[in-house]
Amino acid sequence: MSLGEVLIASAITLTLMGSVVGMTVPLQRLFDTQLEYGDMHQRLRAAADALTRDLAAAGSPVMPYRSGIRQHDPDAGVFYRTGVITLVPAMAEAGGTSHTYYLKRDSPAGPGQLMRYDGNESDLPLADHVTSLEIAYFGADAAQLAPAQLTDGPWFPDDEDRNRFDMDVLRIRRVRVSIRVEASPGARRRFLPDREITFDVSPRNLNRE
Amino acid sequence: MGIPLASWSGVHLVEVLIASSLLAAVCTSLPAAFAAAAAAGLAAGQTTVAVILAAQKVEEFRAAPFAAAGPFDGSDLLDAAGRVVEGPSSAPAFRRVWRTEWVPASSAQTLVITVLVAPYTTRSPLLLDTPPRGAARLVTVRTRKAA
Repeated sequence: MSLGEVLIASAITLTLMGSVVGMTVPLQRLFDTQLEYGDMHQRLRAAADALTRDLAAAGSPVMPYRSGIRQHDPDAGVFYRTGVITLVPAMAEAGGTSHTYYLKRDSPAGPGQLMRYDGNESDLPLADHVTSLEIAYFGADAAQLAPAQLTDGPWFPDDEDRNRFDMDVLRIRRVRVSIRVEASPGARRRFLPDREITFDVSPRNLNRE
Repeated sequence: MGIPLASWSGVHLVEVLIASSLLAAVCTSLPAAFAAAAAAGLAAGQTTVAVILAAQKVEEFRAAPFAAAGPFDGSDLLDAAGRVVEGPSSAPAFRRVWRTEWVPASSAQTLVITVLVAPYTTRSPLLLDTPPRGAARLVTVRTRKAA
């Protein structure tokens, strides 16, 4: 092999290796983002599945606030919270399990966790890096029920009962849920925009003939 | 003992070229594989949303009063987040079509509910019985309950 051939072979090898090294970084980035993209959808699916299942099985009343043994919102005079919903299965016996869904943030701008409270002692995370949870309520005429309508009374069973609720919540026939998730901080967020899904559920037990 | 130094011919340029070509062929196929993986990931994400949107419509028909559940068919357009949009100018991401029909010989007591959600395209109409690639198609049956 002459010196000329060695030079040509070296040039070819260097060019090729340079190209390979140049491709490595974007491919690694693409690989990382794909994993996180799949994870974002998994979180979205888990959150949507849990909410859909509980909404489909829910009976009256659907409560737009936290209800249970701990931090029972009516004790504080709160009967509506944005992004909070308590669902009681229609077939639950007295004292049965309810499910409250809400967003927990350690700081106002920090990452959120979708939480589920079982009405007793346990608050458990359902999905991480959830940036927003919006819930809207609709009546039989498909008109949206405003928060003021759900907090102004009249109350059932009376004005003093610990578990009282605004009777207008009995008008709820359809619930619209919007969930938005973000990429985890370690991932390359600028390549992964937030993912959002909006879906309606018409609880069967609230729409009985 | 080994090859005599005088007969050692070393590596020829042709061999270097062949080796380089093989390496280049392997390397050029890598981005294509990654691109295919990325496309599959995107498609899986779209299917996830499509299934949720189809299930939402099925649940709507199951919850509606029996007399109002059909038979009829319809369609709507949805954006990437699942919100209903008005028309093609609103950049829809999905098209959803549905049909409810009586089971023959059921004396209007049993309803078949079919919902199909697919990525929006203007190329061809979305037909319930021929779901395109990436579509979510749910079929269920609802029976009138005894009074």
